[in-house]
Parts: sequence; structure tokens; C-alpha cells
Amino acid sequence: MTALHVPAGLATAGFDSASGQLRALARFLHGREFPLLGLAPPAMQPLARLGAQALELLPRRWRQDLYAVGGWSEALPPPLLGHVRTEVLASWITRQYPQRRYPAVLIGSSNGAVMHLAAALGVPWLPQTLLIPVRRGGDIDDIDGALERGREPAERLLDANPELQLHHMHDPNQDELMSRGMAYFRVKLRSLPEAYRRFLDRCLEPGGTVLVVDCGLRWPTTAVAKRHRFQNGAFGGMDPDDYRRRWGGPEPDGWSPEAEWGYEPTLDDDLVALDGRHRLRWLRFDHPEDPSPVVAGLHREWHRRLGRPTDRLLAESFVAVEPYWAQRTASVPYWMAFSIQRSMARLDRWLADTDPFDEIRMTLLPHGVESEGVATEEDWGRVLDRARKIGVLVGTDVDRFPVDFGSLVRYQAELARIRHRFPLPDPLALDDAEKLFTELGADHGVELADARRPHP
Amino acid sequence: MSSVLHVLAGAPDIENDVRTVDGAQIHARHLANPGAPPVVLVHGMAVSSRYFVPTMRELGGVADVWAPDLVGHGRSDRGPGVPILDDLSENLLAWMSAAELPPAVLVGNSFGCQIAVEAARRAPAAVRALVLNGPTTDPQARSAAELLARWLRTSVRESPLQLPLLALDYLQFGPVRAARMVGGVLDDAVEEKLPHLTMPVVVVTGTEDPIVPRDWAEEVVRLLPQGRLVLVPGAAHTVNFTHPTQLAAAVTDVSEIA
Repeated sequence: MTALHVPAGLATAGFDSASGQLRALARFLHGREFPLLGLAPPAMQPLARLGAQALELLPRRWRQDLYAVGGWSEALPPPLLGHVRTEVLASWITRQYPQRRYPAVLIGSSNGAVMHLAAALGVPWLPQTLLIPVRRGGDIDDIDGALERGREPAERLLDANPELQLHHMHDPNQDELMSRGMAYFRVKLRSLPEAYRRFLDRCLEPGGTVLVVDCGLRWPTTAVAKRHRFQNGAFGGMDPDDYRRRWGGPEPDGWSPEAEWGYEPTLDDDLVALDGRHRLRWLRFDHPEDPSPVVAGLHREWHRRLGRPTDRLLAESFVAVEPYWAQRTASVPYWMAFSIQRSMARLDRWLADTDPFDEIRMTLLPHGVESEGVATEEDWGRVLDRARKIGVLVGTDVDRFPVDFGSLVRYQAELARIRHRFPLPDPLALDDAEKLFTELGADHGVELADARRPHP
Repeated sequence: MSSVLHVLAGAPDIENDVRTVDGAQIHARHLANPGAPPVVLVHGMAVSSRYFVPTMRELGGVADVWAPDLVGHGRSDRGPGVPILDDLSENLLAWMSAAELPPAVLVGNSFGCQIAVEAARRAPAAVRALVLNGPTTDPQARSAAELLARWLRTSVRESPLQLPLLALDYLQFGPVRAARMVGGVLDDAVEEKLPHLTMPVVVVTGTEDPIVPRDWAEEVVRLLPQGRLVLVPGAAHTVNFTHPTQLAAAVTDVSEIA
């Protein structure tokens, strides 16, 4: 590697599902909590609180503008894309974890529930997808224009990185603010980087398990060039057809793994080749929130076996997660991709079917706009009312949501103050987890399989 | 503003009830509603029933509302020495039987919660349900200095309108006696009593209350076999004065008074 390569921390978005879950899990495996989303040292917390309070004095529009400026400032100028290298990104990822032997390593889709599963097992997860934010201008409602402006930077990126597949995602609904200053280049690994191979050699116990996280979520895309697809809209509060109706855009020519959450099966070949040296298992599901009730059920049973309370629920949104305090407070984690009505309805349906919780705490994702399908007080109120004793939002200022960026500063500190707490438990044994997962998964469309998903 | 005027101007529909309890004259505010279930409002340290007037009005339509000045407080007899928690809970129960109240809903504010909890522990049959607004004292603040610091922080967040009312109460009680009372307030390990209360309890806490931070309010609820938490956004320590509608709603909810 020459010095001309863009450092991974600069090339990837800090506020993203993949990098966020990665930081949360890596910190957890180091025995550390997750203040300020792991973006700043814990000592910055008082300062960040003050800063958030100061920002809250600004009018709503200004706060939204700041959010957009934040996205722009984090984004990479297009000329630098030719200097991004997959191996630099991959070794940056593996370096975040403690370098020791693990009984298993997870590889694949980003998923908050699966992150908690990894934390329970005490093992790392290597993402297949990363977000490279690229500086852009132009009208966010001009979908065809967004595609066109992505061509040239995409070419630079893909020419330099034959192992990457680019899903240029453009979501004028949920990413209205961030999209003003940045294009969402989500890249997926088509092959296993050397850094991942080295990590498996070094850190996976002999005969250890590689657990592939395969989220089957798909979205219509338009092929732009080789290994380059354009995705109009994104998983969230609207369906693909809704985007086409409202904003138009290019004609889709097929379905692809969803840019942010979906698993790209081209990686399968390299993984299958690992068989013999490592044990391969596949965690397969179709919707990003399918594993949430399964992971929650698994934690409940685990807490029961540990002799800990089983009546606390921590419902988390996006990257507003906290594996460390979830375990220390014996809170059952249930993960929602976004704070949208659909996610809350799924949670509500699961709660209706499961033993009641005494305490339900919920974090929200303040993404800055009243997007189509965003949850309202009525939605989370219905969920919180299911708590027998305590049903509360954590860190959220209801009057400011979804322009409530301070909640991301506050939620973790509030969770860290919960009083009834325990030492960190020893990790859950992989055997036990697999048994529980198989048992609980059947009802929720989650499968723990020995073989890759048959290709469509 | 209206609430402070109501309180200072006196309220024609609220009667002053005086009866002898264990040889002492005990004054109570009473908003009569014959036949309706009784609700008894229990004031905090060194103050009187006066700051409950806004809550009394909110509850008047559905409950027979009482707010006694416990011995040593408000317009009641001073009694011997500085009253401690045992005296006050004893006095509350004795007054309830003197007033011939059927099992009642007790609503405490601040130290009044400790009095109500102790009374409910001693005489569970006399207490139908409990509402604890701003329950003291947080075990993590069980020193006079910490309590004073938190009290000063809450003072700036309260409605300025209630300052003259509480100042009047404190003066009437005597600042020196109040200071001597603090030790007794801090001695009470209320967290050890909560698991023994079997009646329904609602804990009502303001989101801006430094005396009762949310983690302590949540812990109180967790310890109660039948506890439930109600947060009042924007309120500090005296929800009964600043947000009487929300407090009254919690009372009707827990006691299932229509």
C-alpha cells in the first residue's frame, strides 16, 4: 500500500448502519461501553451534551441545514475515489477487534439484532457492505441526474477495486437532508479480502465456525456499468413503486440485494472454499428485522438461565444501540432498522404474542426529516404502553423528534444510569445459541442452515 | 397565574376541617364530594397542604378530596419537638380514622411520599392505592449537602409563582426546625419498604426534577410489586402545583375512579 490511499476512517461514513454496528460490537468485545456512538472519546460526553443543548436553541430549519452540512463534510471529494482500496478498508475493520481466538466469526449483512447475537457469543462480525459517502450537488429530486452524476466517481472507485460491487443508493425520502451534500455509495464485497482471510487464520479457533449473515432483502435496480447498480429509494417507510410514482427515475432492469441491508451472494464462492478449514453456517432471513424477535427470545432464555430478570426490554433503532449496557442491565435487545411506523408495528405484534415485559425502553433514530412512514408518538406510545411498569423513550426529546440530534448524545448516558445491574456475563456458548436460534427462528422466518441459499 | 390566585385568595368551596387527633388540633383542607371515594393528599417536609389546592380542584369532581396539615405543619398544632417520620405517618393514620375515612388513595409529594409509604406499610387495609409524586430520598443523594444542592437546582426550575406560597410555609414551620428535620428525612431507607407494598402504586415524576432523577424514579417503580411510572414532561419536583391535571389523571387511573 502506498501513502496515496485514502484512510478507511475517511473513506467510510461514521454515521452508518455498518460502521455503527461495527464500532458498537468492537467496543463491546474490548469490554467498553458505547458513548457518543463510539465517534468521540467518552470524556467528550459533557461537552457533547452542552453542544447539543446549544444546537437545540437554533430554529428547526437551521438544525436541519447543519445536518446536511455534516453529511457533506463527511463525504469524499470525487477525485479521491480512485485512491480508496478495499484492503485498506478491510484491515481497518479487522483491526478494530481484539486480536484473540474466537469460537466463531460472523461475516455478511449489517444487522443490529445480529450484532447483539455476536455480542452474546463474544465474537466479531465482518461487514460485507460499507458506505462511502461522496460529495455531490444538484437537486435531490432529480433521480436521473443523481444517477448520471454518480457515473464518473463510480468508475474511478470500481476500476481501482475489482472486488467491489457498487450500489449507488438515492433516497429522497429518508435521506433528504444528507443527500443534499452526499451521494450514498454502498459497496459490497464480491470476494473475501486478504485482511479478512488473515483475520480468520489468526483469530478463528481451529475448527471454528464462520457464520454467514445472509439478509435476502432485495430492491429493484438499474444497471449502470459493470458492478455498478443504481437503486432508486431504499428500505424504510416507502415501497419501491412509491418512489417511482413520486419521483420517477430510471427504469429498473432487475432486482438486487438491497443496498444497505441485503447480502450479495457472489461472496458465497470464497466462503464455500473455506469449508474444511472452518465450519460454515448460514443465517438466512428475508427482512432485516426478522432476526429481532429471535435474538430477543434468545436473550430472554439466556438471562433466565443466568438467574437474571427476564422482564426488561431495550428496543433500539438503527445505530442507537448499546450492547454493553444491554447485558449489564439484563435488558433483552430488540432491534428496529429505523424509527418508522412499520418497524414499530412489527415490534408491537411481537409484544402482543410474547410474555409481557415490566420495563420497555426505546431509542429513536432522529434522521432529521418528517419522512413518509416515520413513527409518531402514537406508534411508540402503543408499544411503550405494553410495559407493565416502565415504558419510556430513552434520550429523546419528543417535541423535537425527528430533528432531535441531541438524543444520540443522551440515550447512552441514560442507559448507563439504570440502577439494577449485573456484572458482564460470560459469553453464551455457540452450541446453546444455535439450538435456541433453530428453535425460535422457525416462527420468524429465520433459518440457521448448513448450506448457502439456492441461487434464484 | 390562576392557580396562585386561587390559593392565595382562598377557595370558598374548600372547607377548613379541624378535628382533635391524639390531643392535637389537626387542620385539613376538604373539598367535599359525599359518597365519592376518598383521596388524601400528603404534603412534604416543612410545608403545608396549601400547595395541593390546584390538584384538589382537579380531583373535586370524582373524589372526596382531603389534604391534612400533619402535626407540626401548617395550621395544625405544633406538637412536642420536631416531628419525625414515625410521628407523621402515625398522625396521618390517626387522622384518617378520626375522619372515619374508608380505604383511601394516598397521594404524596416529596417527603410526603415517605410518610404515605410508611403509613401504607403499617396499615395496608386503610390504603387502597398510592400515588408517589417525586418520591424522596434517592439513596445516591442521602446527605444533607447533596439534598440541598438538588433542592436549589429544582428551585430554579419550578414555577416562580409557588415560591411565595412555600416561603410562607417554611417561615411558619420555622427554618431552624426544618433544618433539624432533614436528618430524619435522610434516615429513612424507603427502598427497603417498597417491595412490601402490595397495593397499586403510580410514581409520578417530572422530567426536569433534579431531586428525583429518572433513574431513581425507575428504581422505585421496579421495587414496587405493582408499580407503574408516569413521566410529566417539563415538570420539576412539585407536579401537584405546576401540572395538577397530569397528577389528577394518575390518581384517577390508579384508583380506577371514573
